[in-house]
Amino acid sequence: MEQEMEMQLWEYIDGICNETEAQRIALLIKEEVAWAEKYTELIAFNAELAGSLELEQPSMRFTKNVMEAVAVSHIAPATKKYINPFIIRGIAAFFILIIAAVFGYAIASSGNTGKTGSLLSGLKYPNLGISDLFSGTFVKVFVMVNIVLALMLADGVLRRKRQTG
Amino acid sequence: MQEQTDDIAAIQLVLQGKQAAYATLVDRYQPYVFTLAMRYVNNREVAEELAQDVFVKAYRFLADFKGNSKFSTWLYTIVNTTCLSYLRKKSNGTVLLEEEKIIGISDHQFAVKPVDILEQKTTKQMLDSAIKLLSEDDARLLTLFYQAEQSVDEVGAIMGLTAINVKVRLFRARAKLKEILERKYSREINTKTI
Repeated sequence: MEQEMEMQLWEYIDGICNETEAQRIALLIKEEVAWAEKYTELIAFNAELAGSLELEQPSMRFTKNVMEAVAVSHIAPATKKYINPFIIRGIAAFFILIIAAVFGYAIASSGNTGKTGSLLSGLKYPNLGISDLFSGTFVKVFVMVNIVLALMLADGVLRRKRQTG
Repeated sequence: MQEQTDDIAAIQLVLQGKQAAYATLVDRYQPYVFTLAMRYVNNREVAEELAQDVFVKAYRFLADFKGNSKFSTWLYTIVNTTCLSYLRKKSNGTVLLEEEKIIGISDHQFAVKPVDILEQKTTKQMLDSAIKLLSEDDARLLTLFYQAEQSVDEVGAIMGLTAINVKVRLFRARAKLKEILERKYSREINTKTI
């Protein structure tokens, strides 16, 4: 209960509660002794924190050191300037096109069963032999190669970790 | 607000090729950047190197600062990433971060001055010592909020936290700080009525 009150009071002191909430807390401070006492205690602590925490100071030569380091470096052009948005859009368009083509082909292939009345039935599609590509043997070999590669990668990572640690 | 306008003006000058204008920004923000770096590494030499690195990085990428946030918020985000990447690199070394933290705390506890000296401590010193006993995250949060005068949202942007998360952590950090002050400096607190 007290913790809840303290939390609400801190929100009020920090000015991060909404207006309705602020009005409600202000009223509680005015009318309830416990709230008023806690508020006085917290506001004093807050003032100490805001006014008494000291900043650390670096050495006297700090600015000079920074300016010397800065003198030999150059300001990089803004990221937006060297990343052409058309290239990003081009890449996005390429992937969307590929996905759309694969998706369209899949739908067309599944709809091309010779049924009459289908909108796509009149169209002829090239036979890409995708079903042959994903035959049982192919999938098994593919998965096996991936497992071996994953094991090699894990081994490399663990070995590197042991060397650095 | 005035400071923000001054920052933008200085940045414009730097971007126009007047490199010397950058010294204004370095002078203005060096204690904040250095204090924040100290909250990460707790070592003056390393903190100074990191702070210097932060200012050089900020200079190199100054053209990327669009003024959507305060310059200070953008700069403290660089402090955060630079210090975290330093600590990450360092964690591959021999001493673990957690161990260092423990060493730091116990060192501090052994270095507690006699009561008669403690009595002469100012509130500033007491708070500074107490804040060093907090976790690094809590100390950073309080530094950003109170010393660097960043809002809850800005602290969230710098530390990669949501505003609600910052609010809760801030509440806990203050509670912990209060507890440390009461536990370690109860005599001084009674006399100084913190």
